[in-house]
Amino acid sequence: MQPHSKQFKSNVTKALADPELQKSLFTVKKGLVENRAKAISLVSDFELLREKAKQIKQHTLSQLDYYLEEFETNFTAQGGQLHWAKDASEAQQIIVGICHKHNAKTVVKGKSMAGEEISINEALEAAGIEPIETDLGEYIVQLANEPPSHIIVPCVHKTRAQIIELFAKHHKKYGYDKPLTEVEELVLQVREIMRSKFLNADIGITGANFLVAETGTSVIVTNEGNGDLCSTLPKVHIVTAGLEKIVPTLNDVSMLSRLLARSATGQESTAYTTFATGPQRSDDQDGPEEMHIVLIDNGRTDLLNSELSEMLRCIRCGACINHCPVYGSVGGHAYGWVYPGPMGAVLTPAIIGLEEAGDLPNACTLNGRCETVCPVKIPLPKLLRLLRVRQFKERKGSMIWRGGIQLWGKLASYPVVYHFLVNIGIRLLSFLGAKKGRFNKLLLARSWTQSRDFPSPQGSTFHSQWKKYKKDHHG
Amino acid sequence: MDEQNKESKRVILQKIRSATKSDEYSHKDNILRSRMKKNKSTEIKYVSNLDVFISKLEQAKATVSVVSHKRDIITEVHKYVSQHQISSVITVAQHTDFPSLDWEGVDTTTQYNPKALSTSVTFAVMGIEETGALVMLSSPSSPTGMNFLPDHHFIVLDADKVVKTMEDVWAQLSKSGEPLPRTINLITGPSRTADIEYEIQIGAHGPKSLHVIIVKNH
Ligand code: SF4
Repeated sequence: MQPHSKQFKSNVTKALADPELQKSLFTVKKGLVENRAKAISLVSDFELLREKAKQIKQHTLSQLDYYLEEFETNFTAQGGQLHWAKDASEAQQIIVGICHKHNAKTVVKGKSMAGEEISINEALEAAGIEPIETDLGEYIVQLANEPPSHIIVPCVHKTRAQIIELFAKHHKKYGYDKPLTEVEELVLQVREIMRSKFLNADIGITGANFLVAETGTSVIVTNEGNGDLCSTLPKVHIVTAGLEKIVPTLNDVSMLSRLLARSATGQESTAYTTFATGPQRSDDQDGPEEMHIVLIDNGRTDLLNSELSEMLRCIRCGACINHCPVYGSVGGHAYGWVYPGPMGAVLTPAIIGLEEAGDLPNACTLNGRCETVCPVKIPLPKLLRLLRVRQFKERKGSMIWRGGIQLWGKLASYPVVYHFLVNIGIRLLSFLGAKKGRFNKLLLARSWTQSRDFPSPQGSTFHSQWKKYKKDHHG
Repeated sequence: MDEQNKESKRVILQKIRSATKSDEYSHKDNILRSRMKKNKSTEIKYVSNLDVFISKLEQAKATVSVVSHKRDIITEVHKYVSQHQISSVITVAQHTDFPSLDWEGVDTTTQYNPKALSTSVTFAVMGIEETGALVMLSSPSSPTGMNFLPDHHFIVLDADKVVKTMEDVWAQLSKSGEPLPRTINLITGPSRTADIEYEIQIGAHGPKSLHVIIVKNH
């Protein structure tokens, strides 16, 4: 999709003023966070699992070239076709090329964030091929002509009433005209509509949660069963996967899958974990005749070669998103690209550039919850800080912001002047805000006070309190 | 491999090598193989008490019954379909552990027709206690679609084949030395979604019901 992360600030203003969105965000926050906590409390040593998972991913990244080639050897030995794609446009070109070769008219799709990243739907449409999202959440956002707002629950921003309206409008053409009310009816209707699409599609495209070097296997972890229908029924199956999806062995998948479902949806295990190795075998009655994997770089090797390389451990579970207070207030669309929340605030500027997404690393309170829940122990706050440093060094960001930081930096290196000025500022603010104890308007701080009050300072600075404490306690 | 693919591969690998400071010829000998060996347990842990396994499946909204003889499989399927008023023909997969089941009295077929498949019986090769998963292997007589297309799905499992963890499954499968089958499905419960208002709904695109029949003393 076309990024619009540049408009982060105005996106945020819009999101905060949208009552429907705020309602939906609350439901998820509660549900996903509580379910995860429950699932994790049942594991005897979750911390140990996190450490093991981290090590698996870190080891793989340190030998990435080796494991990728090993994967290629084993996958092609089973008759699979591997394609290396340097960037989004190369990936699009490869996939559209496969579709054209098979004269494809329709493509059924399982959920794939890598697919979103390379805007595969737009590319297919431009080539006259109809992409059909089959994951319920993805289908809903496709009907609404919107991007997903969460990597696990794509339509989390939509209320049931909005979905009912959407189906009433779009499902008339299939002969459905009875108005629906229950979630069960909505799900059933999509199931019925999709069935013939699965059976008649020319090509199926899915993502991958893991690519196993040892066996050349592609693994998907799902609940709805649509991914399996996409990879089983059409004559051609294409997998879109970032090259960091590689893991050495099936046992590594076992270890990582213990963390994935629990962190993502709070399930001990999803309904389906599927290991697909190559196209159908002779005498098989189903399975694709061709299986292609498009291995996508799109900025990942640059990431590997940077101070942010730990981000490549990410298994796209969404836990950091669910626990992020900023995401919880503004939702996924505000981030303006494919990946929202803390992981998005690192990945987006890393992949599409700081010019496009410079606001994202700054939209973080550094509260650190994301790091504590991340199953592969990615130090997200540290990475966000590093991005801020990079941004400052590369002279990106607004003049006021840069000037402010620079001034602060200068002042802070002269403690006497700094404390003097801070003290004056604090006295002034507490004097002005003494009555209400807070400000709802403040010079130079409109973006703060627009959505919340700024508390007026209480008492003296930490420094003077500390001085006083030392004097009182140590004479 | 075409020229563009070769060139992209070269560029990508080269960028990785310069990031990880390894070059093409510096590969530590058989890193992967030594890791694999270290990883594969030799002893496979089977589970004799199935309570945990069954409770995991039930948590995932599958129904489970335990029968004591393989001829009871048919009785059990018959009972279930009449209780739930399922009238469709039942598509039955083949499995070497259960050859020559006599489906006398139940309307069955072994013909696989994806376009008309609303009830099926397939056979798991193993169960996993840790997750309540049933391990399904694809084969010419047990196509993957039989696990995903039906509205109502029966899975039959030998009670002696439940292992502790997923790792035990890999240890067992690697014993034969054969490559993996085209598809391995680990299935825990019927299909589900929580995409609308985070309300859990059973029966998304895969089966709406899963009934597991565990056979003892088979
Ligand atoms: S950064 Fe960590 S918590 Fe966030 S999606 Fe990735 S793996 Fe999950």
